[in-house]
Amino acid sequence: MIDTKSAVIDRESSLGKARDAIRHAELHALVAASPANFYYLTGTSFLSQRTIPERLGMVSVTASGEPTLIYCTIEEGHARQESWIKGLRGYTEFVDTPVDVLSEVLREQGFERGRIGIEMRFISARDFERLRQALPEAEFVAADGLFDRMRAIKTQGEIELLGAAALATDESIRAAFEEAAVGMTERAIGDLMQAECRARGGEQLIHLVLATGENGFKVHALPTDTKLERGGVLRTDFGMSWGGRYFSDIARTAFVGPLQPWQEETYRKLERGHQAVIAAMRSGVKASDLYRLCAAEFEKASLDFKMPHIGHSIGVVMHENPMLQPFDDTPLEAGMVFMLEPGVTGRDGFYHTEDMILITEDGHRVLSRSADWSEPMVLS
Amino acid sequence: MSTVSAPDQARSLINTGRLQRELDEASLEAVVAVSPENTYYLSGAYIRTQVSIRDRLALVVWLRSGEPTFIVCNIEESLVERESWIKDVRTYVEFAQSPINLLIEVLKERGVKGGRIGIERRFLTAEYHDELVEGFEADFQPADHLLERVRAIKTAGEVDRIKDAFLKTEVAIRDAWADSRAGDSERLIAERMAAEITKRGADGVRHITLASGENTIHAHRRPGERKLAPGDLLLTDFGGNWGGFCSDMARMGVCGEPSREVAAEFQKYRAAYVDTLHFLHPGVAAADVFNHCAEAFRQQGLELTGPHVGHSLSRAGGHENPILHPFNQQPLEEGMLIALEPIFRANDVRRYHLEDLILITRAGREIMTDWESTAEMIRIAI
Repeated sequence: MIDTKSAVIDRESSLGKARDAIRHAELHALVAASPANFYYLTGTSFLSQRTIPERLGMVSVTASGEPTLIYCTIEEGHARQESWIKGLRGYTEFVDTPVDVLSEVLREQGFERGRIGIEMRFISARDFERLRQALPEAEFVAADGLFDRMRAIKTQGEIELLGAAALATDESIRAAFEEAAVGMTERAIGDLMQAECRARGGEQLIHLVLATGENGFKVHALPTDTKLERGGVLRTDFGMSWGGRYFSDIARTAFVGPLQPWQEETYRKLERGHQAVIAAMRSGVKASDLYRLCAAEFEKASLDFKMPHIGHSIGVVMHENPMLQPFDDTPLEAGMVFMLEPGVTGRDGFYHTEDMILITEDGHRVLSRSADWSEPMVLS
Repeated sequence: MSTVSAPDQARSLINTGRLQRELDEASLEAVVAVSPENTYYLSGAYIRTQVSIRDRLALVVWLRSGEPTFIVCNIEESLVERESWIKDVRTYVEFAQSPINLLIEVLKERGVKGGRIGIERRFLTAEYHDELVEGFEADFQPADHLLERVRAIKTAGEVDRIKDAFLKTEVAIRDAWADSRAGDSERLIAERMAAEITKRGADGVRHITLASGENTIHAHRRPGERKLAPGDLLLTDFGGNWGGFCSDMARMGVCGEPSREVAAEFQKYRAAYVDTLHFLHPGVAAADVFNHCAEAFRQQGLELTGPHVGHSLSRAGGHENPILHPFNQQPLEEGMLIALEPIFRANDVRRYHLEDLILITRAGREIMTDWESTAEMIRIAI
């Protein structure tokens, strides 16, 4: 059971990063509204932010002074007990409109004509229009990139939790695959993986793609009652939540056996391409360069390269920036955590592998391999 | 076994008659669905990443006349081909092309330039919205409520699937609690519930709040290490994902015997709850249900807490209109499903919470879950 209880971010570091961003972007206030960024700046987030997105939780941080946390009064207990923010402002659902409370707060802070950073990639068109109408003289600027950069370099606590979660997820997949045999359904294998993961501290299922047979051609196929057959491929892409807010995300491909020659060839080529990209991961290298390297490796191996990205950062969001895609020129830095996940459609479905790579001062560390996946796994 | 293919079944689950009527009444040439609940509803394809990766849009362009178009990231193409009944599927390559850019191409092609087009302004982000409005000349109208009204009236197939999900969720709770006893942590009990619900066919847990003893005061408590002790209340609000549908039920238990005070409070709470259950009927406004419930609580000497007492729900959508809150004048209609869940906080030390599923029928209502079984709190062994 891994430790999912300890806090992995702290007030000083999170608010420090936010205030650096405020200075850098010459803002008066920085407002977080997405559950991920809200958590990063307040130390908590509410379950209902995800299940009922209109029940907004927001926090407004300024260059100095206590930030203001805006919450639905239903979540009062959480706001008081769980957040490190002391400036609290509750609103009553259906009576108050959350963005109106935000404009009131910004007005009180004296930023009616201020430059306000908001999450344009989160806030809805409707809420944004209302905010603009309430504060017609304020200047709203997209702060999504600022938040991305704040979260990209993980704290030591985050690295430990994410690494342990990735390893536990890999162990769970391996353990379930070791139990899998001809005749078992996708669903049964998926259930096993979940049970294994829960026993290691995994909380909620975030995604469980699991496919064999014809389903193997669907990249994001959910498990069905399709049974494993001799000579088939078994593939999964699986993740759970850890510590309430962090994610794991591991993809693996195995073979029911007997291993067919084309299966072995495709698997080994994919693994070689994967390892070549891992070898190149170190600080200073651009995300887009890794994408191009992967494309080149695939071409060398005569593998069909079709992926719009080959990996992503991970943390409180499943896909975080920087992304390993052709238009992201962010240089890698020590403390970033990537999921590298090349895949290829072969003769009998999609083959996929995914590992967690931590960028370190002197290169990288693979955090997610509990077993030797360099050899194709053949079910017993 | 049904011989209808999954895509055709997905089409039969859509309330197309209501959608057509709504488009006609609003004089919309087209409506663009963006949110996971609406694209799933209209296309039949459940795109998991639409929920987890918000920028990766999937869009259904539904025309007043003509076949719809489905716009998806190319990663999802193979899934859409197998699950959706929509034939015209267009793909964009993430990072290389903006989904809005492709949407604009499709709108141009379908000849709706300058016309009235409905969009989901509550879901589309400010950034994408700006891109759309700047890139295409049309009279864009909010269509959030329109789509909500269509989804609110369930087809028979939807009712069957959601009812089945709720019934299995209840069994999962009862079986997990039957295996639990004093000394078990909330977390352990939650794990049992998760295992039971997946065993019964859920794809996974959608939400789980579980609280015992003094923790019941929190609305959305994540299960923790607190151990269940004799006399403790145990409270859950629990739901799973079922092939794109969701369940959402609250049940209460007690470890051993409740104190006389708690037993009496529960009976008062439940009397007001049952009274409200039987008040639901077509024609009554959502606000009136709230007010009736508040009055039923007062008659029991209790004060209703919480800004709403229930909500509708549908495929992939958890809290949907009509939400039963005091400012919602939307009338209940035949074919709506309601999850009723008034909450009572007693002296700020504990909370009472039940939640059942009700179908609004022509004659009144049909309570789809086993509400009678809540006459007593579920007993958990000492």
